[in-house]
Amino acid sequence: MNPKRKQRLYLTVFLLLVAAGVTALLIQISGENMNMFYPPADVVSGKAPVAQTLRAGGMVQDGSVMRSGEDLGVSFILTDHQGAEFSVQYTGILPDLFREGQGILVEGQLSAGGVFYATEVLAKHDENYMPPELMELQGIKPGAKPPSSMPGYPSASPDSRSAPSYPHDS
Amino acid sequence: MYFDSFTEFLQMGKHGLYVWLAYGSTALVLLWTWLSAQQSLASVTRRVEQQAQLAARNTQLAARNTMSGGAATGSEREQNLAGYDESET
Amino acid sequence: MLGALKRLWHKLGSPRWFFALTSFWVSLFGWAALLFLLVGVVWGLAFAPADYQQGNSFRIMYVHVPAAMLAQSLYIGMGVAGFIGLVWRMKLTDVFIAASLPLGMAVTALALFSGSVWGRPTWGSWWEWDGRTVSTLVLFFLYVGIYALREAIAEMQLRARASALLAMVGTVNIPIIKYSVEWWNTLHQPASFGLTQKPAMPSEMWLPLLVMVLGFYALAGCVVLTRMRAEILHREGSARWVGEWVAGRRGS
Repeated sequence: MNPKRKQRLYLTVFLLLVAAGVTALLIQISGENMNMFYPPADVVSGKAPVAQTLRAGGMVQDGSVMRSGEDLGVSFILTDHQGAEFSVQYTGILPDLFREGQGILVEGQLSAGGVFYATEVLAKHDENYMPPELMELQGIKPGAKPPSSMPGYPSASPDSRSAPSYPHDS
Repeated sequence: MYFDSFTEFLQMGKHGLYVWLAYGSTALVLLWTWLSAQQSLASVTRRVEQQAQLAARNTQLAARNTMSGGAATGSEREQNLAGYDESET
Repeated sequence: MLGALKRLWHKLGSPRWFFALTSFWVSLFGWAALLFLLVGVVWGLAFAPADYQQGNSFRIMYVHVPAAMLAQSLYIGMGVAGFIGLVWRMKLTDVFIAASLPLGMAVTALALFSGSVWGRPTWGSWWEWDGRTVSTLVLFFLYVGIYALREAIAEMQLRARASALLAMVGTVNIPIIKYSVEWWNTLHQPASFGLTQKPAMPSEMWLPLLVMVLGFYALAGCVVLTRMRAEILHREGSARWVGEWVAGRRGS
């Protein structure tokens, strides 16, 4: 390689490394802000600010969904299956994928009493796809359910993940 | 076939609007990318052909006028474009 | 061996050689794309089973995932071309960048749009600002940025260097797109399909996806090569070999 070209090679690689370094630094700095929602542990520990619009996420606890008779009001408990959980109040239309055991994102405000008043509910689906027939087959076998993944819980162990049950309706 | 009838296929459960919107836009955009690429090659080809015709007529005229002339700059240019900076050993 | 490699390298730098070689590949990729896309669409829309949770809206995956994969692959290709162009000053790399831009922009827009249309029934929202969607939007703006840069600079050498630099530097966004769903809490689910992992779905669901991905890549081969041929003809319009090619075309 001739010296001129070698010099260009070094310069180009250097530029690329600088760009990568700056980006990595920016990501490092913005770290927390890049997260789209607070996991239940942060809501419980008080890391999530009170009386401020924010997003929180977790899995809908089995048997916790209570609908009020007259309007579209609903309350449920979001949990990480690690001991942290908080209750959510919401009035409005729930997304199709809302069900017990499903990963859910709520947007709204956290009251001082620890109740989350949601103005919007979003469903987070996982990366596993399955035809209904196959799901029924697997539903018969205990423990053969696909894991419902909820990234953001670093300590979630596989056995705690199998806790959510999948509905056999629909 | 997963669906029992054609209407069911069109309805896609209750998600027909979303599914057909996604597939329709994809079909249109992919078709456009292909067509526009063909069209750009065709238009450049047409222009190059016109240039070649013009050049041929010029050389004919030049020959008729018994002038020694050249459209010989082509090969020079070709080499030049084949990538410069090849001076290494 | 080394000599042969070196000769190939120099040949690759020759637009004339490239032009002669690609005529065959354009039609091969074109027919392959038509075949794969037709089979993939019919399979994915009508024969693949619906998802147990999402129902039929899951079929949007068969256009969303290939578009997103191609959007990133094309950008990586432009970045590598930019790097080679900056160091070795090979002309064809700039031709490749120019030819990839329109398709890259189109498939990135498609990935964003189909993702939005998929997000509405599954998430309950057309658009959410999470790590994956934002980094993909950045990818779209990078494509647009390089395109605008090329439009703004008339001088060929400067234009080539500026867009090569932007293409190369912009590749740092690709790992961000890929790992966004692992680094941060996002609404977007992690990848269920990749080169190195087992797909997170049964084969009757991922086989049509594989066919669609192949179709998208074959179409990209056809479109990018066609545009490269057009760009080469445009740049070398007065070269002797172009004149010979034109004469040969008329003769046949």
